[in-house]
Amino acid sequence: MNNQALSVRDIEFITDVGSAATQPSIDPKDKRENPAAVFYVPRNWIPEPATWNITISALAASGLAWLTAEAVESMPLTKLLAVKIGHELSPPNVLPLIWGATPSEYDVVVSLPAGYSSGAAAFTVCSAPASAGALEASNASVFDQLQPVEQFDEKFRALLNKLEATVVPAGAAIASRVKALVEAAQDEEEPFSMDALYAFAVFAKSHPRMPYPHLTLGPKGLLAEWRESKSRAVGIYFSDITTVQFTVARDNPRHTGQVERISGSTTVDRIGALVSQVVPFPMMWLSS
Amino acid sequence: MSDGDEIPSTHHVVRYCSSTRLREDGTPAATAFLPDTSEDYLSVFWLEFSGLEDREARVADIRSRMTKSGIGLKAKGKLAQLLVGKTKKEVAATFGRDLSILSKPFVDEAFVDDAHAGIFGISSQDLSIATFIASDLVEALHPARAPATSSR
Repeated sequence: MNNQALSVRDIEFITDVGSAATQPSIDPKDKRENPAAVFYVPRNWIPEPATWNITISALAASGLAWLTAEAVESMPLTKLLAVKIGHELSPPNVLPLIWGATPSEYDVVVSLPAGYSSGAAAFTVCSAPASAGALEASNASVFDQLQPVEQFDEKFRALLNKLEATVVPAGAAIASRVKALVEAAQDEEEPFSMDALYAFAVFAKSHPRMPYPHLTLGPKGLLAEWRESKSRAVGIYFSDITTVQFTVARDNPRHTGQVERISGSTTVDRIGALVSQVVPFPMMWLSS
Repeated sequence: MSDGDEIPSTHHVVRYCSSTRLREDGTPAATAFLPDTSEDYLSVFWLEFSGLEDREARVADIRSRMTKSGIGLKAKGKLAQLLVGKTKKEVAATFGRDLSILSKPFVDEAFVDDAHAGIFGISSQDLSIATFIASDLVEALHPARAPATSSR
C-alpha cells in the first residue's frame, strides 16, 4: 500500500479554544516528508495540566486511513502528554480511521502536563500506517482494548448517545441492550471491547435505518444478528473497524430445503455493501 | 480416560453460555461457541462422565464441577448440550472441517477436572461454524443454576 498523506487543506480543525494562535497551520520548521496539520497550544496558558478538545474533520478523503499524532519537537518546552482519539487512548498515537465520502469527524483530546508553557501537536492522516511498527501497534490494540468495563464509562456513554441519536427508530433499544450487555459482562467478569462497540457505531452511522438486531458479546467483539429463520439470517461480528466478520444463511434457490452459507471478513466501511450483495431477502437498509 | 482421548460419539458435552452470549429470547448466539482468545479449543464438559443414570443428576454433577473449576455460573446463563457424534458429523458435512472432541482434564493448576473436555478444530475466526452450531446443533438448554425447589 502506498503511504500517501492527505493534504492539510482537506483536514479541518475545530477547537474550543478560540484563539487564532491555536488554529492549525503548517509548521515552517517541520521537515517531514508528509507535512502535518499542526495544532498549537496557546503560549500564555496557566502552567497546569490541561487538555483541549478538538475535532478533526476530513473533508475530501474516503476509505481507511491512519491518523498519527505526535509532539512537535521543534518547539522548545513542548511535550505532548497524551492524545485521545475518538473513544480510546492510543499509546502509539496511531489509529486507523474510517473517512467517509461525506465529512467525518473525530474528537481528539490533546493533553499537556504541568510545567510546559507552550506546545504543539502535529496530526498527519495517511493512507497507510507511518511504519510497520505502527501497524503492529495498531493491530495489537484489538486485543489490548479488551478492558474491564469500569475503565471506559465516559467513552462508553458517549458512544451509546451516538448510537441512540444515529439509529432511528431502533437506536434507543440498541443502546439499552448494549448497556445491559456491558452490565452483564461486568457481572460475568468478562472483558468488553470498546473497539468493537466503536466499529458498530461506525456501521450504525452508515446504516441509520437498521432494524433492532440480536446483540451478543463474543471473546473479541460484538455480534449483531438479523434472523428471520435458520435459512434467512445475517450475522456481523465487529472486532474493530478493520476486522469485521460476517455470515449469511440463505435458501438455496435451486434446491428447496437446502441452505447456502456465505462468510468472510472486511473493514467496517465495506461490510454493508458486501453483505447486501449476498442477501437475497429484503434488507434494504443495508444498501443505505 | 486420559488427556486427549476421544469422547464417545453417543455421549454429550455441555458448554456454559454466559448471559452475554445469549440472545434476549434465551437462545445461544454464535458467540457462545467461539473459543476464548487465550484458548485454541472450545471448553466443554462431558455430560456422561459421572456415570449417573438420572439426567438431572448428570447436569447437577456438571454444574458442581464447573463451579469447582472456577466457572462462575450465573442465574441468567445456560448450559448448551451438544451430541458429540452429530456435532462432528454435521460440521464435517457442512464445512469440511474435522472437529475433535477430546478429554482435557488439565487446564491449569487451578482448573483440573476429569470431566473437562475440549472441542478442537474451531478457532475464534470461525464465525460461520459457531453460527451453525448455535442454530442447528444444540440439543438441549439447561439452566446454569439449578432451579430452586419449593419447600413445604
